[in-house]
Amino acid sequence: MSRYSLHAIGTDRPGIVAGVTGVLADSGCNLEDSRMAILHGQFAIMLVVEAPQRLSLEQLEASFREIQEELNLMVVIRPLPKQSNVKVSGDTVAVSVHGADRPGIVSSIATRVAELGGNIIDLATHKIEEQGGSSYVLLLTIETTPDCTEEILSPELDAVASQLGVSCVVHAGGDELF
Amino acid sequence: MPARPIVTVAHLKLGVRCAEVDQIDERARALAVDMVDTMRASPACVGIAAPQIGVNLRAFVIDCSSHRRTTVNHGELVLFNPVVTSLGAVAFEREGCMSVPDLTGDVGRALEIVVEGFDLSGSRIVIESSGFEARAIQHEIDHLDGLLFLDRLSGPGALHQRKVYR
Repeated sequence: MSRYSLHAIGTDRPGIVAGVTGVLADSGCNLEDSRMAILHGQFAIMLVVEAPQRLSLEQLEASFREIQEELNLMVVIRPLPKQSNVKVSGDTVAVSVHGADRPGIVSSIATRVAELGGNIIDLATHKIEEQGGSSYVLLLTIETTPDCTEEILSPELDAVASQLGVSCVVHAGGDELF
Repeated sequence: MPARPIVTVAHLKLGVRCAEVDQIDERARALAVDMVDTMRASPACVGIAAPQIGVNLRAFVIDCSSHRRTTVNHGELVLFNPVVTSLGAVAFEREGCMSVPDLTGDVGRALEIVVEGFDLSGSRIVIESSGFEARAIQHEIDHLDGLLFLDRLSGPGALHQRKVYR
Protein backbone atom coordinates (compact mmCIF):
# COMPACT_ATOMS: atom_id res chain seq x y z
CA MET A 1 0.00 0.00 0.00
CA SER A 2 1.09 3.58 -0.58
CA ARG A 3 -0.22 6.70 1.08
CA TYR A 4 -1.08 10.05 -0.42
CA SER A 5 -2.45 13.36 0.69
CA LEU A 6 -5.02 14.74 -1.71
CA HIS A 7 -6.03 18.39 -1.81
CA ALA A 8 -8.98 19.62 -3.88
CA ILE A 9 -10.15 23.21 -4.14
CA GLY A 10 -12.82 24.93 -6.17
CA THR A 11 -16.05 26.86 -6.05
CA ASP A 12 -18.54 25.05 -3.83
CA ARG A 13 -21.40 23.15 -5.46
CA PRO A 14 -23.32 19.99 -4.68
CA GLY A 15 -21.49 16.77 -5.60
CA ILE A 16 -17.85 17.65 -4.93
CA VAL A 17 -17.41 15.23 -2.00
CA ALA A 18 -19.30 12.53 -3.88
CA GLY A 19 -17.15 13.13 -6.99
CA VAL A 20 -13.78 13.12 -5.21
CA THR A 21 -14.50 10.16 -2.94
CA GLY A 22 -16.13 8.29 -5.85
CA VAL A 23 -12.91 8.44 -7.89
CA LEU A 24 -10.94 7.29 -4.83
CA ALA A 25 -13.32 4.38 -4.20
CA ASP A 26 -13.21 3.33 -7.87
CA SER A 27 -9.39 3.40 -7.70
CA GLY A 28 -9.41 1.08 -4.70
CA CYS A 29 -8.22 3.78 -2.29
CA ASN A 30 -9.12 3.78 1.37
CA LEU A 31 -9.82 7.08 3.11
CA GLU A 32 -7.97 7.66 6.37
CA ASP A 33 -8.42 11.18 7.74
CA SER A 34 -10.11 14.05 5.98
CA ARG A 35 -11.18 17.61 6.58
CA MET A 36 -13.19 19.98 4.43
CA ALA A 37 -14.05 23.64 4.71
CA ILE A 38 -16.10 26.20 2.84
CA LEU A 39 -15.28 29.90 3.09
CA HIS A 40 -17.37 32.44 1.21
CA GLY A 41 -18.46 29.77 -1.28
CA GLN A 42 -14.95 28.41 -1.86
CA PHE A 43 -14.52 24.71 -1.15
CA ALA A 44 -11.36 22.96 0.07
CA ILE A 45 -10.86 19.37 1.13
CA MET A 46 -7.78 17.52 2.30
CA LEU A 47 -7.74 13.75 2.57
CA VAL A 48 -5.14 11.20 3.51
CA VAL A 49 -5.71 8.01 1.52
CA GLU A 50 -4.22 4.57 1.38
CA ALA A 51 -3.82 3.39 -2.22
CA PRO A 52 -3.17 -0.09 -3.65
CA GLN A 53 0.53 -0.68 -4.41
CA ARG A 54 -0.19 -1.26 -8.12
CA LEU A 55 -1.63 2.25 -8.46
CA SER A 56 1.03 4.83 -9.35
CA LEU A 57 0.78 8.52 -8.48
CA GLU A 58 0.43 9.27 -12.21
CA GLN A 59 -2.45 6.81 -12.56
CA LEU A 60 -4.21 8.26 -9.56
CA GLU A 61 -3.76 11.78 -10.92
CA ALA A 62 -5.08 10.68 -14.31
CA SER A 63 -8.21 9.20 -12.74
CA PHE A 64 -9.14 12.65 -11.46
CA ARG A 65 -8.99 14.40 -14.84
CA GLU A 66 -12.63 13.88 -15.69
CA ILE A 67 -14.12 15.25 -12.46
CA GLN A 68 -11.55 18.03 -12.36
CA GLU A 69 -13.08 19.30 -15.60
CA GLU A 70 -16.64 18.52 -14.65
CA LEU A 71 -16.52 20.13 -11.19
CA ASN A 72 -13.92 22.77 -12.06
CA LEU A 73 -11.61 21.56 -9.29
CA MET A 74 -7.91 21.90 -8.72
CA VAL A 75 -6.56 18.60 -7.37
CA VAL A 76 -3.08 18.12 -5.95
CA ILE A 77 -1.86 14.70 -4.81
CA ARG A 78 1.36 14.19 -2.85
CA PRO A 79 2.98 10.93 -1.73
CA LEU A 80 3.30 10.42 2.04
CA PRO A 81 5.55 8.17 4.13
CA LYS A 82 4.04 4.72 4.79
CA GLN A 83 3.58 5.31 8.49
CA SER A 84 2.15 8.46 9.91
CA ASN A 85 4.89 9.58 12.30
CA VAL A 86 3.58 13.06 13.02
CA LYS A 87 1.93 13.26 16.39
CA VAL A 88 1.04 16.20 18.56
CA SER A 89 2.20 16.08 22.15
CA GLY A 90 -1.35 16.08 23.40
CA ASP A 91 -0.99 19.27 25.42
CA THR A 92 -2.68 22.18 23.79
CA VAL A 93 -3.95 25.62 24.70
CA ALA A 94 -6.84 27.50 23.16
CA VAL A 95 -6.35 31.18 22.38
CA SER A 96 -9.12 33.64 21.59
CA VAL A 97 -8.28 37.08 20.26
CA HIS A 98 -10.94 39.64 19.44
CA GLY A 99 -11.46 43.33 18.91
CA ALA A 100 -11.69 46.00 16.26
CA ASP A 101 -10.44 44.80 12.89
CA ARG A 102 -7.03 46.05 11.81
CA PRO A 103 -4.21 44.70 9.67
CA GLY A 104 -1.67 42.42 11.35
CA ILE A 105 -3.64 40.75 14.15
CA VAL A 106 -3.03 37.19 12.97
CA SER A 107 0.57 37.76 11.88
CA SER A 108 1.55 39.51 15.13
CA ILE A 109 0.06 36.78 17.32
CA ALA A 110 1.35 33.94 15.11
CA THR A 111 4.84 35.47 14.99
CA ARG A 112 5.05 35.62 18.80
CA VAL A 113 3.81 32.00 19.04
CA ALA A 114 6.46 30.93 16.51
CA GLU A 115 9.20 32.85 18.37
CA LEU A 116 8.26 30.93 21.53
CA GLY A 117 8.46 27.66 19.60
CA GLY A 118 4.74 26.92 19.75
CA ASN A 119 3.05 25.16 16.85
CA ILE A 120 -0.35 26.38 15.68
CA ILE A 121 -2.37 23.25 14.91
CA ASP A 122 -5.77 24.80 14.29
CA LEU A 123 -6.93 28.26 13.32
CA ALA A 124 -10.12 30.05 12.40
CA THR A 125 -10.65 33.74 11.82
CA HIS A 126 -13.82 35.72 11.19
CA LYS A 127 -14.34 39.30 10.18
CA ILE A 128 -17.68 40.61 11.39
CA GLU A 129 -18.99 43.55 9.40
CA GLU A 130 -20.75 46.13 11.50
CA GLN A 131 -22.05 49.62 11.00
CA GLY A 132 -19.17 52.03 11.44
CA GLY A 133 -16.38 49.45 11.40
CA SER A 134 -15.79 45.76 11.74
CA SER A 135 -14.74 43.30 14.41
CA TYR A 136 -12.21 40.52 14.14
CA VAL A 137 -12.19 37.16 15.89
CA LEU A 138 -9.16 34.83 15.87
CA LEU A 139 -9.19 31.40 17.51
CA LEU A 140 -6.11 29.23 17.73
CA THR A 141 -5.11 25.88 19.12
CA ILE A 142 -1.43 25.77 20.00
CA GLU A 143 0.56 22.65 20.77
CA THR A 144 2.54 23.42 23.89
CA THR A 145 6.21 22.70 24.62
CA PRO A 146 8.19 23.21 27.85
CA ASP A 147 9.12 26.70 26.53
CA CYS A 148 5.65 27.50 25.29
CA THR A 149 3.18 26.69 28.04
CA GLU A 150 -0.12 28.31 28.96
CA GLU A 151 1.68 30.28 31.73
CA ILE A 152 4.30 31.59 29.30
CA LEU A 153 1.94 32.24 26.38
CA SER A 154 -0.67 34.10 28.40
CA PRO A 155 1.39 37.22 29.34
CA GLU A 156 3.33 37.15 26.06
CA LEU A 157 0.21 37.16 23.87
CA ASP A 158 -1.49 39.62 26.21
CA ALA A 159 1.34 42.05 25.53
CA VAL A 160 1.01 41.57 21.76
CA ALA A 161 -2.77 42.00 22.00
CA SER A 162 -2.43 45.20 24.06
CA GLN A 163 -0.19 46.70 21.38
CA LEU A 164 -2.80 45.80 18.77
CA GLY A 165 -5.61 47.17 20.94
CA VAL A 166 -7.43 43.83 21.02
CA SER A 167 -8.37 41.37 23.75
CA CYS A 168 -6.68 37.97 24.20
CA VAL A 169 -7.53 35.00 26.45
CA VAL A 170 -5.36 31.88 26.72
CA HIS A 171 -6.76 28.79 28.40
CA ALA A 172 -5.91 25.11 28.64
CA GLY A 173 -7.17 23.09 25.69
CA GLY A 174 -9.14 20.65 27.78
CA ASP A 175 -7.93 17.44 26.17
CA GLU A 176 -8.46 15.25 29.21
CA LEU A 177 -9.60 11.68 28.64
CA PHE A 178 -12.49 10.34 30.64
CA MET B 1 -35.81 54.72 27.81
CA PRO B 2 -35.52 53.24 24.35
CA ALA B 3 -33.22 50.32 23.61
CA ARG B 4 -29.56 51.26 23.79
CA PRO B 5 -26.96 50.39 21.18
CA ILE B 6 -25.17 47.09 21.81
CA VAL B 7 -21.44 47.23 22.52
CA THR B 8 -19.86 44.63 20.25
CA VAL B 9 -16.67 42.61 20.26
CA ALA B 10 -14.87 45.44 18.43
CA HIS B 11 -14.76 47.32 21.75
CA LEU B 12 -12.21 46.52 24.41
CA LYS B 13 -14.70 47.76 27.01
CA LEU B 14 -16.27 44.27 26.97
CA GLY B 15 -13.05 42.71 28.26
CA VAL B 16 -13.16 44.56 31.57
CA ARG B 17 -14.18 43.16 34.94
CA CYS B 18 -17.22 45.17 36.00
CA ALA B 19 -17.59 46.97 39.34
CA GLU B 20 -20.19 46.07 41.98
CA VAL B 21 -23.39 48.09 42.07
CA ASP B 22 -23.09 50.17 45.29
CA GLN B 23 -26.74 50.84 45.85
CA ILE B 24 -29.94 49.50 44.32
CA ASP B 25 -31.37 52.99 43.84
CA GLU B 26 -33.21 54.83 41.07
CA ARG B 27 -30.08 54.85 38.89
CA ALA B 28 -29.68 51.11 39.23
CA ARG B 29 -33.37 50.59 38.44
CA ALA B 30 -33.06 52.90 35.38
CA LEU B 31 -30.16 50.74 34.20
CA ALA B 32 -32.38 47.66 34.60
CA VAL B 33 -35.12 49.30 32.51
CA ASP B 34 -32.59 50.08 29.77
CA MET B 35 -31.31 46.51 29.79
CA VAL B 36 -34.86 45.12 29.59
CA ASP B 37 -35.80 47.53 26.77
CA THR B 38 -32.65 46.61 24.86
CA MET B 39 -33.34 42.90 25.34
CA ARG B 40 -36.96 43.31 24.19
CA ALA B 41 -35.88 45.20 21.07
CA SER B 42 -34.36 42.01 19.62
CA PRO B 43 -36.86 39.16 19.48
CA ALA B 44 -34.23 36.41 19.74
CA CYS B 45 -32.45 38.02 22.69
CA VAL B 46 -32.91 36.25 26.06
CA GLY B 47 -30.48 38.29 28.13
CA ILE B 48 -28.39 41.44 28.34
CA ALA B 49 -25.57 42.29 30.72
CA ALA B 50 -24.85 45.92 31.67
CA PRO B 51 -21.48 46.09 29.86
CA GLN B 52 -23.28 45.17 26.62
CA ILE B 53 -25.01 48.56 26.77
CA GLY B 54 -21.82 50.34 27.82
CA VAL B 55 -22.23 50.29 31.62
CA ASN B 56 -19.45 48.42 33.43
CA LEU B 57 -21.48 47.42 36.47
CA ARG B 58 -22.38 43.96 37.76
CA ALA B 59 -25.97 43.69 36.60
CA PHE B 60 -27.87 41.64 34.05
CA VAL B 61 -31.37 40.81 32.92
CA ILE B 62 -32.65 37.60 31.38
CA ASP B 63 -36.00 36.33 30.20
CA CYS B 64 -35.95 32.79 28.85
CA SER B 65 -39.69 32.24 29.27
CA SER B 66 -40.49 32.12 25.56
CA HIS B 67 -37.42 30.25 24.37
CA ARG B 68 -37.97 26.79 22.91
CA ARG B 69 -35.03 25.26 24.81
CA THR B 70 -36.18 26.53 28.21
CA THR B 71 -37.25 24.15 30.94
CA VAL B 72 -36.96 25.96 34.27
CA ASN B 73 -37.45 29.70 34.08
CA HIS B 74 -37.96 32.68 36.37
CA GLY B 75 -39.52 34.94 33.73
CA GLU B 76 -38.00 38.40 33.58
CA LEU B 77 -35.15 38.33 36.05
CA VAL B 78 -32.97 41.30 36.97
CA LEU B 79 -29.98 40.54 39.15
CA PHE B 80 -27.44 42.92 40.67
CA ASN B 81 -24.03 41.78 41.98
CA PRO B 82 -24.67 38.10 41.17
CA VAL B 83 -22.45 35.48 42.79
CA VAL B 84 -22.46 31.83 41.73
CA THR B 85 -22.63 29.60 44.79
CA SER B 86 -23.05 26.22 43.14
CA LEU B 87 -22.37 24.71 39.72
CA GLY B 88 -23.47 21.28 38.53
CA ALA B 89 -22.14 18.98 35.82
CA VAL B 90 -21.14 20.59 32.53
CA ALA B 91 -22.74 20.07 29.12
CA PHE B 92 -21.80 21.56 25.75
CA GLU B 93 -24.33 23.40 23.64
CA ARG B 94 -24.24 26.07 21.01
CA GLU B 95 -24.81 29.67 22.06
CA GLY B 96 -24.56 33.11 20.53
CA CYS B 97 -24.23 36.66 21.80
CA MET B 98 -25.66 40.05 20.83
CA SER B 99 -22.12 41.43 21.11
CA VAL B 100 -20.68 38.86 18.68
CA PRO B 101 -22.89 39.10 15.60
CA ASP B 102 -22.72 36.29 13.01
CA LEU B 103 -20.95 33.71 15.19
CA THR B 104 -21.98 30.96 17.60
CA GLY B 105 -19.93 28.50 19.62
CA ASP B 106 -20.13 25.20 21.50
CA VAL B 107 -19.70 26.22 25.12
CA GLY B 108 -19.53 24.02 28.20
CA ARG B 109 -21.84 25.32 30.94
CA ALA B 110 -23.11 23.86 34.18
CA LEU B 111 -26.54 22.27 33.74
CA GLU B 112 -27.57 23.35 37.22
CA ILE B 113 -26.65 26.50 39.01
CA VAL B 114 -27.36 28.41 42.22
CA VAL B 115 -26.81 32.17 42.11
CA GLU B 116 -27.24 34.80 44.79
CA GLY B 117 -27.72 38.48 44.16
CA PHE B 118 -29.99 41.46 44.69
CA ASP B 119 -33.29 42.15 42.97
CA LEU B 120 -34.84 45.47 41.91
CA SER B 121 -35.98 46.22 45.46
CA GLY B 122 -32.50 45.58 46.85
CA SER B 123 -33.50 42.33 48.54
CA ARG B 124 -31.06 39.43 48.53
CA ILE B 125 -32.42 36.57 46.44
CA VAL B 126 -31.26 33.05 45.68
CA ILE B 127 -31.96 31.68 42.20
CA GLU B 128 -31.82 27.97 41.49
CA SER B 129 -31.93 27.26 37.81
CA SER B 130 -31.11 24.59 35.27
CA GLY B 131 -30.85 23.95 31.56
CA PHE B 132 -31.13 26.82 29.13
CA GLU B 133 -31.83 29.48 31.77
CA ALA B 134 -28.81 28.33 33.81
CA ARG B 135 -26.74 28.64 30.61
CA ALA B 136 -28.05 32.17 30.00
CA ILE B 137 -27.22 33.21 33.59
CA GLN B 138 -23.65 31.89 33.25
CA HIS B 139 -23.26 33.66 29.89
CA GLU B 140 -24.35 36.99 31.43
CA ILE B 141 -22.14 36.61 34.52
CA ASP B 142 -19.18 35.96 32.16
CA HIS B 143 -19.86 39.39 30.63
CA LEU B 144 -19.51 40.92 34.11
CA ASP B 145 -16.08 39.28 34.35
CA GLY B 146 -15.05 40.56 30.91
CA LEU B 147 -15.41 37.19 29.20
CA LEU B 148 -17.22 36.38 25.97
CA PHE B 149 -18.33 32.92 24.85
CA LEU B 150 -15.38 33.14 22.42
CA ASP B 151 -13.07 32.91 25.44
CA ARG B 152 -14.70 29.65 26.57
CA LEU B 153 -14.32 27.67 23.34
CA SER B 154 -12.11 24.57 23.26
CA GLY B 155 -10.70 25.74 19.90
CA PRO B 156 -11.46 26.90 16.36
CA GLY B 157 -13.59 23.80 15.71
CA ALA B 158 -16.08 24.96 18.34
CA LEU B 159 -16.77 28.25 16.50
CA HIS B 160 -19.55 28.41 13.92
CA GLN B 161 -20.74 30.97 11.46
CA ARG B 162 -24.40 31.90 11.80
CA LYS B 163 -24.60 33.21 8.25
CA VAL B 164 -23.99 31.05 5.23
CA TYR B 165 -21.98 32.96 2.63
CA ARG B 166 -22.85 32.12 -0.92
